[in-house]
Amino acid sequence: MSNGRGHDRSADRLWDRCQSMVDQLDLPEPFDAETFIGVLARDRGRPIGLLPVASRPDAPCGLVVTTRNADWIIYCADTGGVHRQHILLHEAAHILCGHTERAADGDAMAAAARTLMPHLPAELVRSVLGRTVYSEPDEREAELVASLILQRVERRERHRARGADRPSSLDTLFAVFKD
Amino acid sequence: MSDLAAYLAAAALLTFSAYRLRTDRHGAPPYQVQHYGYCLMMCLGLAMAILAPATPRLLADVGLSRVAEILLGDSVRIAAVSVLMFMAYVVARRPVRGLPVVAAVVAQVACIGCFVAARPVISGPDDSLVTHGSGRWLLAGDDLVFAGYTGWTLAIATAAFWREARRAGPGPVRTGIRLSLVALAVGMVWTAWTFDDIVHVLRTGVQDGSEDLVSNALGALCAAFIVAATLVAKWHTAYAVVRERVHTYLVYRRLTPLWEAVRDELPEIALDDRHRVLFGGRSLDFALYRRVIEIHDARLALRPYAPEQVAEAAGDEAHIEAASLAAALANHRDGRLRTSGEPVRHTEAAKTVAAEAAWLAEVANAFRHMGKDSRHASAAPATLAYSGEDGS
Repeated sequence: MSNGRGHDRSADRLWDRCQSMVDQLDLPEPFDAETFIGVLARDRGRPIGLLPVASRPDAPCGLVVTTRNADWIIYCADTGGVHRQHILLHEAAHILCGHTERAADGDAMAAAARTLMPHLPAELVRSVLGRTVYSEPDEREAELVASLILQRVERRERHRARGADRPSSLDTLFAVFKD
Repeated sequence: MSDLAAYLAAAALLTFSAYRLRTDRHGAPPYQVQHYGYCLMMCLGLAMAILAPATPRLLADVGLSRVAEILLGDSVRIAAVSVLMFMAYVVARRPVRGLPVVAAVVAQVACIGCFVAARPVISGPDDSLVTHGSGRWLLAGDDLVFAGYTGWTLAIATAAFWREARRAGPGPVRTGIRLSLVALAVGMVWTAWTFDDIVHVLRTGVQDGSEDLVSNALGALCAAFIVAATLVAKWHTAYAVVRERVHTYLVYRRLTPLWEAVRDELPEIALDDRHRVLFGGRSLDFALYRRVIEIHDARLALRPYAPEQVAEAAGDEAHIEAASLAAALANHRDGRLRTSGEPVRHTEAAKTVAAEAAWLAEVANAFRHMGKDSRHASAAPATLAYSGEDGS
């Protein structure tokens, strides 16, 4: 159900750009989204705080709030493990892609941030991005980057599992095609 | 027929070993054993090709005498045996120095020395090697050194592989080792066949220059088992990959009814509705991953519409989750928000994509079998009492 060739080409370009970005990332081993975000914060020289919250009908399942001194990722903690990691990575992807540097406050997102972080003074908040619909280009890009990061992790785990059963020299002889 | 067996076996061994040597350039341990394996195949293939009955006619055209061709074939064959000896040492985790190296040099020099000293000539319609006087003893000595050295090497290799076969667990590696043991057993019979040459040389002073039909058949059989042993891992891996692809596709298909139901109600959960799901490509894994994430997104989005209470008589978590989702979808369609302040019951799913997909596939299966497609239900109660399959 394509919207036309132009849309296909732009979707392919987005995919290629995201794939290229993900391929260049240093992913911790074993992978954990929180560790990855910790490394990202260290590399940027800017702290990223993680704030787990219970899901709420009036807020998206993930938000990244940018203040003067730090970024805050607010994420829904009462969901499955893979989903939780995905939400965290989606918000981290906003930071990776530089969306937080150009994002304008959306009223709805700002309201959600105030609800979830009531003690944070509104004047400190520079931008708020929420994981909502993928019709927004930034949301779409962040969602794709998050998906591709976890895909890369899955592939790596699978390769490692395949290569784990070669302890002896004969294993290498009879497992020459396993690579 | 004899030529065909020899050339087919030689072609199989040479092509396979050349391909692997070209594609795999690592020579350090533990890959050393692979390289010895490829060299062994290459030497065996070369020896079989050189000693095939039709080869002398081909080599005569390039000026190589029949005697020199037989000597070359024998030397390559002894080199193959030496490589097998080195390989057996690596398999047995012993260093390839000292005795095996000395034995390889001694065997090669002794065989060439005996052959040259015997001064054989080509004679007769079938291009046999003929020698006279003490030459008989020297030519027989050449055969004896070859047979003895080969038998000794095969014994060492069999012992090394046997130990590994007992150590290996079930799987392609053990199958490969067992096929190698069969190849070694065939090699022993092949070597034993040399003794008729020794007796014949001592009696008549005549030795067939080329390998006979039985020798070539045994050589072909040996080659077939060696190649099969090495390919078994490839077949096993290929089978495992196909099985994994089929499994992924089936799970993806099983998730479809549930995904379509939630996507129809909440179209914003879908990242892309034009996935090209290719059978066997990375896109299939990606599509499955997206289905898992999007169904989870829908579960979260539907929480405010979750039924006040789900009867747990069904027992099975997947059936309860399916009933809860169906009711929430119906409530969402009717704009019926949950009024209770009680937290929504939710199942903590597994920690890997595969495990989550498997669990959601159970939910999707239950959803499909409920007999109530929430997309078409005209109304659904805010409280859904689900009856299990047993009608309870």
